[in-house]
Amino acid sequence: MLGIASTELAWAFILCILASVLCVVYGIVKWNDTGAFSEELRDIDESGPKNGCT
Amino acid sequence: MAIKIILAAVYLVVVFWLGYRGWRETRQATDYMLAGRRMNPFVMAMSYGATFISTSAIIGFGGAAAMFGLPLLWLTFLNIMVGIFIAMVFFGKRTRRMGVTLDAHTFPELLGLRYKSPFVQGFAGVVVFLFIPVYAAAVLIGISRMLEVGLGINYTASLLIFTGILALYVITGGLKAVMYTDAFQGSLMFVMMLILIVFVYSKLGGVVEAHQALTDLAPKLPESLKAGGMLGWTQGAQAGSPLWLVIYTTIIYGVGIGVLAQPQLAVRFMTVKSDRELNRGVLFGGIFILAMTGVAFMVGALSNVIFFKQAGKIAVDMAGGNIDKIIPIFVSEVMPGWFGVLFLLAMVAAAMSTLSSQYHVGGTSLGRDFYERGLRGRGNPISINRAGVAITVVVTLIWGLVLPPSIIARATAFFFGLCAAAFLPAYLLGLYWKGMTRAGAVVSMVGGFVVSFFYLVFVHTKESAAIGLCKAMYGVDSLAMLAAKGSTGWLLQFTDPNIIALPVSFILAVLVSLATPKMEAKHIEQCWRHL
Repeated sequence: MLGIASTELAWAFILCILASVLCVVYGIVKWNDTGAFSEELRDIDESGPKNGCT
Repeated sequence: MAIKIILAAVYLVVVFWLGYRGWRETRQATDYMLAGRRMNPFVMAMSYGATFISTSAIIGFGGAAAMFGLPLLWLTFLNIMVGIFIAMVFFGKRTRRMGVTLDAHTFPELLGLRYKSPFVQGFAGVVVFLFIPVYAAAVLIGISRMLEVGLGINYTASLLIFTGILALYVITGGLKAVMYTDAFQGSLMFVMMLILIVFVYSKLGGVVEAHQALTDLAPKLPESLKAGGMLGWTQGAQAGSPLWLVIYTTIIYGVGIGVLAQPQLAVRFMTVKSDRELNRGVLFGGIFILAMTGVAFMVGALSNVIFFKQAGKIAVDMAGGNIDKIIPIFVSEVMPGWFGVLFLLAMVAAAMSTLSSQYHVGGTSLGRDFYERGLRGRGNPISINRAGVAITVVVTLIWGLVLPPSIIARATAFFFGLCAAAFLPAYLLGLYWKGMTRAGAVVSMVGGFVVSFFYLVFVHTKESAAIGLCKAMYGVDSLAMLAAKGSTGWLLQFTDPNIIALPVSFILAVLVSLATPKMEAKHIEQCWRHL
């Protein structure tokens, strides 16, 4: 398959491309999804350091 | 030569300008350690990718692909699925949310706060600080070898020049400088790798034709590789043979899974302000990694065909047996002259982006996690972490001067494997299992580290022979050699330490957590508040 002698390795080649496609599709679908608690987390972050960092 | 100097100068001007920008925007410790938690998703993803993929992946593993062929593509698949998708979606989001909730500034600090344990943070910090210079040195060696071949620059001089340039902007600019420069360097790498794969496939008449030519080259496989179980570059290795174990356990399992517990990568999840940036990062990262390791491994393997057509020799023979030199020789002898210059610059970028992150995470591990938290040291946090980075830079340089050739791929696998055994169970279960206890984390981290380290010193021949302690104590390079040849025990010398150490670390984490008192409900509630 695809000039590659081992079927297993031909699948490795194909899966590399499919995995990349999956990442692209996921990124597009979730492009504007800020996730749960985003406002609350932003408020915590903006409230300033708590663990000794200045 | 004039063009090389001009391009190098332009590149350095951009890097220093970005480094200066990072320094100018660094006002507090959160800026120095977490880039202010306001990083752009493209910058975060490119920085993550460029840190992940270095000269180790392109030169070291590209050279390994020239020797072992397409089985290395499983590593690319894992790099994308595990290193990008699973890492950002299933680890990244929880890491960011828990990190903000607990106000963690480093990966060891996240573990320390999750388990309410200064020991956990200090231990993780020490492990990172002690071993990341070895991995960093492998990257430093990779790019210095490339400059030795490409430009004829003295190897030691290259080590010193790189160290000086990087030290300047990492020590002063912190993570902002590191990530800004990473994004620029990653973009440069991306373009060069795309040109490389298009050129190679075109030269060989197309994708399928190129693969077929590599398949047809199998009779030229060196006898030593055949004896180890290799069947061909597109045929793979015989299951269970020594080379099969080396390829699938050390390179793929060790590095492919180990990426999940890499402190210098995990900390990037905490540099963005919401899940949205991580979602977008998945898109950028998925494309970037395919263009990096996917291209490097295909080109590495296909270099055998091109070298054989041009010189009648396969890649490893062209490089005189040193696989670290295969990609540099391929670029200098096969690719057009103009590309050689730009590719060299891209490899410099790859090395610098990874090294800067390694210096930064080593420095913050020493400064923040070990000194400030573990030893309760006092002082200005930025100054303490700058001192930590400076010490990491010096230690890395020393390793770079003493480590032997052909070390790149092994040192990378070594660090990735050690991190997986020591950190992955405590990190994963800490994010997903409320029943994971402080004692479980401590025993898992220390146990995983000890088992992995013992295996490296006494069992895994590649490292144990180099270290020499096993030979001095027992008269053999590996204790596995005492077993009957061909037996399971004998084959352990070729098996990655994490085949044993990671499951042991997981089992210890679960069993000890089940057997020890649960952590206070209020603390667990706080940890899970935004998950």
